Amino acid sequence: MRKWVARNLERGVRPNLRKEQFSHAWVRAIASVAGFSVSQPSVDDDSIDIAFAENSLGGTHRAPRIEAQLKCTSEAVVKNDSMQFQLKIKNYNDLRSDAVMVPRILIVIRVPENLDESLRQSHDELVLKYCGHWLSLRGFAPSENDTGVTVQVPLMNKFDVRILQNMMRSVAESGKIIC
Amino acid sequence: MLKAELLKTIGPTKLIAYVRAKGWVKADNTYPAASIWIYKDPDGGEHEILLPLEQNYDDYALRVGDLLTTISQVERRSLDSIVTDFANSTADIIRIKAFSRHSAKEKIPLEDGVRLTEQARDLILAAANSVIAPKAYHQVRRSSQVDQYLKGAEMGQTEKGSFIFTIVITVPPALALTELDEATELEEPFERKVNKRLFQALDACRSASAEALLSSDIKPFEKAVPLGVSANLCEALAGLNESCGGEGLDLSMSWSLGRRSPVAIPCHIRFNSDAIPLIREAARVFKETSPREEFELDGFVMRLSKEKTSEEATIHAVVDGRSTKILTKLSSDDRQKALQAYDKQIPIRGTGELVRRGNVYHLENLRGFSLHRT
Repeated sequence: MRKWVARNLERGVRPNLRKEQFSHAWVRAIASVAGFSVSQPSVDDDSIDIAFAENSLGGTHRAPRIEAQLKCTSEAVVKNDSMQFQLKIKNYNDLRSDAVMVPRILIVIRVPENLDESLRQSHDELVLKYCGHWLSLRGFAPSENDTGVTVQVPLMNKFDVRILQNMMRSVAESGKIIC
Repeated sequence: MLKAELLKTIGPTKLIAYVRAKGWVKADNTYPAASIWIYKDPDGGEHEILLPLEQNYDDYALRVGDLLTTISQVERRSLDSIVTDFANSTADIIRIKAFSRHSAKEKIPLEDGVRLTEQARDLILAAANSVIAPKAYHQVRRSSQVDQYLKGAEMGQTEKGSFIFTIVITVPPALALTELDEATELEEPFERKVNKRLFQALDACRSASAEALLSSDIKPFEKAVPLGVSANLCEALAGLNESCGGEGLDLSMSWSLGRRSPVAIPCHIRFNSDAIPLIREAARVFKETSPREEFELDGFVMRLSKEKTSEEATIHAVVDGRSTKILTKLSSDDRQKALQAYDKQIPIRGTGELVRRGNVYHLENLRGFSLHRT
């Protein structure tokens, strides 16, 4: 068993898949503490990875919902209190669209270069490194680029339990994310 | 995973027609491009869907996917079958579900599959003939209207979750969703009349089998003939059950979204395996006792009355695979031919209505009587 694990670690088997799974686990942990359900879309839309929902928070928008695209990176460049992140042009255009019934955001989770260091556990705590940050691209200007666009995700936009609760309340009341 | 391109083709009008027909109620909300609908199930649980109203929105396909997923959970049907209903929204869809030892694998033997297709055809054919004229036993010849109906019936994709056979029948949509009385059949196309008659007949057949179990009597089935029960329908049901493992059948109807759904007709009928022998017996009795139209006589003259003035002859022929005697009356011309046939043992042919009285067959209205010289 040890030899099998060591062999696979050496090969770096599917590191992108490991990051994707880690980002899902990270977001689900936040959502479960915030009190919302999480689901993955039943439709083959590659701009949306996950949806948060609540069965009626009252307000005029019953059962508010927010959708998100998840990204996980160990190579984030931080500049001027923002994390620079490269998005494919299709994802950029899908996320900036005004013509959506359910608000959507980008969540970027920054992890250590060595993914083995992204989780630390003891009897007293479970630590997931490092942090997730969110950005709403709604209304962003179109880009003339063909392949990708670099977006600036503010470091102050920490994706945590409180912000998710505020977002959902905002959607319940107005249909928009106002935070 | 549902395909976005397919979901984009399902318009808001179809979505609204479907949820309204299923008992969902619109709730107040302020979504600009969507509406919220609520459904309360019999257990008191409440379900909610966001119904998208603008197909040009970028997340329209995602919203339709969410809606279909919730409907699938509420109705306890597979997502595939829900999507099939919407993809074939201008069609009535008949689903025949087999309870079979093979169903866990979602497969049945090829030979059974061939028989299943034939018997499914016979089932809808029985209903179609019954719309033209309800009878205990429909003979082979059918009208051009029935032919057209059968040509328009298509075999749909089988669905997951047991072996589910689907028949898709396109029904012309109503020109307007009017408040016209559903019973006004003049307004209904033939396809819809047949599909309604089929489920009326299946329901009546199920009730008749339950009554017959207690009374040991064919009368419940006879009373159900005007509702579409016939030897043909009963035989098809018994055959379907046998082809699918003999453990019972589940038939359901999803009505086209283009027309008002019938209210008084059940759209889900289950036949337990113990009802099938009674149904099969009803088919046999109906066939035995109903006149067979256009029966083709092919046999030998066994006996002619010695009286020159008598018109009666006894013919030896095959009925339902068994050798039997048939009595018939002959015209004077036919009697001469019969004498020749009897003397020289030449086979004869003719057509008429075959009726069984007690243990004896009679061929009435004999015509086209001739000697068959090889």
